[in-house]
Amino acid sequence: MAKLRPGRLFAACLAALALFAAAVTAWAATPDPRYGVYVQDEAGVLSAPTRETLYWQAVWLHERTGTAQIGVVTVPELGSATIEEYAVAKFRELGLGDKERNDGVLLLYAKKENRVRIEVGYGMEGRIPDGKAGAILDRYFVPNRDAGRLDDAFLETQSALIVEMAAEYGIDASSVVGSGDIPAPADGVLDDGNGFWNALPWYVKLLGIAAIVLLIALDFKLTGGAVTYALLSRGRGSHRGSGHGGWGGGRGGGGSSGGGGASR
Amino acid sequence: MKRSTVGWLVVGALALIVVFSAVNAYNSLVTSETSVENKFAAIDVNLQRRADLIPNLVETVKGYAAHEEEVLTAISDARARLAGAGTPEEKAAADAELTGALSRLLVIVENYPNLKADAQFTRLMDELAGTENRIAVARKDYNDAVAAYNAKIRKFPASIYAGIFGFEKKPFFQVREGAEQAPEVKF
Repeated sequence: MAKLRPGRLFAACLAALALFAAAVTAWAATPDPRYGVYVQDEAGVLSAPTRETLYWQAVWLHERTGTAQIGVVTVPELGSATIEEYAVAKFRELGLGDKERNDGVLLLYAKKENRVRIEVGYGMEGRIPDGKAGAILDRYFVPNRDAGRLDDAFLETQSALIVEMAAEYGIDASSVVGSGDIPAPADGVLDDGNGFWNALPWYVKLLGIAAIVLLIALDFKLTGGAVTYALLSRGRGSHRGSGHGGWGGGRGGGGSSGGGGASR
Repeated sequence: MKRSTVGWLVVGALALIVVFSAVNAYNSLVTSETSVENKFAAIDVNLQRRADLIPNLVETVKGYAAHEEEVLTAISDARARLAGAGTPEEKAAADAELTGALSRLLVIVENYPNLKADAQFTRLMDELAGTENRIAVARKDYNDAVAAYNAKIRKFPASIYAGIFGFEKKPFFQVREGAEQAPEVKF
């Protein structure tokens, strides 16, 4: 590589790294990666304790049933879409529920229009038909929403939905959710340890790998690989993957919805 | 190697390429067409579901607004027409008519607060709204599948094989112009 001066190569690496960092930052700015598909409070209407409770209740459901997923999403406004159109698109984007069983449910709220919708996945429609979804909204969400208690609205509604979804799998959730006590996760580890890395879009991953390859090449050229070897020997034996601590919040199982549910 | 052998080998290779390409195109078109048929069936299922809900709804409404015969009859007629529809275009037209009749019903219901408060009615209206939404989603999924399929049969080289194997463009599920407007409600 006679033509490639170290200075140029180094500059190229820095540029790649900067791009990578920018891409990750941009990606991480929207949706909240802490809670994965389970809680996305884009409108910022929920308090932090509420988000935590919603999240852990949803994780509990997923772990106990193995596949069922309930997502809570708030958006600032719907724009030109109806809440029904928005809900179906969001549901499919998140891929709530298992790919085969389609046992996902989405609770969507639009702040500006003050509208709420429960979107039910194909596989859950037997347990939660439209009439029941409407009844759940009427009983748990609407009174709280109209009184200005959005946190309670979400907590009660999500809890009611979880009870129904768990019942579909023969699990009695009524004593676990909604009581205010956050159910402890089964073994302290969230859905997948490398959720953060896997959840990145492909171009970000590509940039990251390219940057790393460039750096390694540079290292070998300048120092004969000393840095790389040092890093490798240190890394061997240390804990791999992030099992806890906020990353890897949970990804959708690939389920889909056909438009069932109710709006208020 | 003799000249003629090389010649035959080249011809053989070209023939293989053509066959491969034809098989590929055919399979791809079949997959695409099956997806379209699948999505159409989904529309069908939901239209049927709505048709099944209607009698219940009409009965519940009758309990409160028995003399609103015009609207109730319009709904029943539209439902019958939908049951008799065959092609996607016929279904789309009947679907639009039923939607129009149902929206008229919604207007009338405003005058009967007891009806609006009835739990059975609320549940049925949720079911109906859910079904309407399912129809809309199924319709969009179908149209997306048709768009993908139609694009496929026009693209090269699949376009050649499409003609040979008999794949034709499919119609979109479109609402007839003017059917969207609900007729005036006369008291």
